[in-house]
Amino acid sequence: MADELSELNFEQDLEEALGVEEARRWKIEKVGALQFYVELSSVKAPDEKFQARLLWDAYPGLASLKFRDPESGRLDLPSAWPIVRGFRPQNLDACVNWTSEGNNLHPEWKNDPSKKWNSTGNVVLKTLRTLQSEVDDYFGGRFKK
Amino acid sequence: MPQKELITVLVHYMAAGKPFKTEVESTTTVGQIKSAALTAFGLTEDAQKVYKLYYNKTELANLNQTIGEVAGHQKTLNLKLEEELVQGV
Repeated sequence: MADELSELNFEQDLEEALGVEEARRWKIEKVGALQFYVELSSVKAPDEKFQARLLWDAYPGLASLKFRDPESGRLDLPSAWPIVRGFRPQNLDACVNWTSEGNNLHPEWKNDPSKKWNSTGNVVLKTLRTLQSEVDDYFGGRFKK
Repeated sequence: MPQKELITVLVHYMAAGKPFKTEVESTTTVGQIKSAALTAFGLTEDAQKVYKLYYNKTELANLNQTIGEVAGHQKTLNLKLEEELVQGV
């Protein structure tokens, strides 16, 4: 369960994130104390929409990243994932240093200053911008079996 | 004596809602801008933790390059400050 300070910081950062210019590209739905869905697409395929779920155990910190099938609500469908560097749709995770899943797979990253992701500043915004940037720059289509 | 024209530099950082903004002479170096931006965003770097400045998609690796050289004829320069992203296997 999220503590009050986490929730307060999260709320403030989410509000600021909703006000930045790039937020026009995001459709955000808050669904929990430290959790939201964000619909986004790549500049390379603007009509191909994906819905990410970002969830924090404690805030600020590393977010869990999953992709959700909006129709069924399922978080266990590889086909809900975009092909992006470090993303592993068949494992339903992103092995990157800016997600909790990536750092669970590579605990050594947390002890390596060059690879440790900096969780200062507005982490909601930073995570959203990182996700968007990666989806824009490294998009390879929707994952298909 | 003619006044030197200033260049407005905006440094955008992923975790900041607003960019760092400064007006500088064209002879100001990329390194000076980077240092000021790091301070403004409360970031520190050392031999292991490095942030990089980008203009469009090009890294400004030469910290001695002047802002005037980067800006060309532009009066406003938008830069991005990024940290390294890592992928596993």
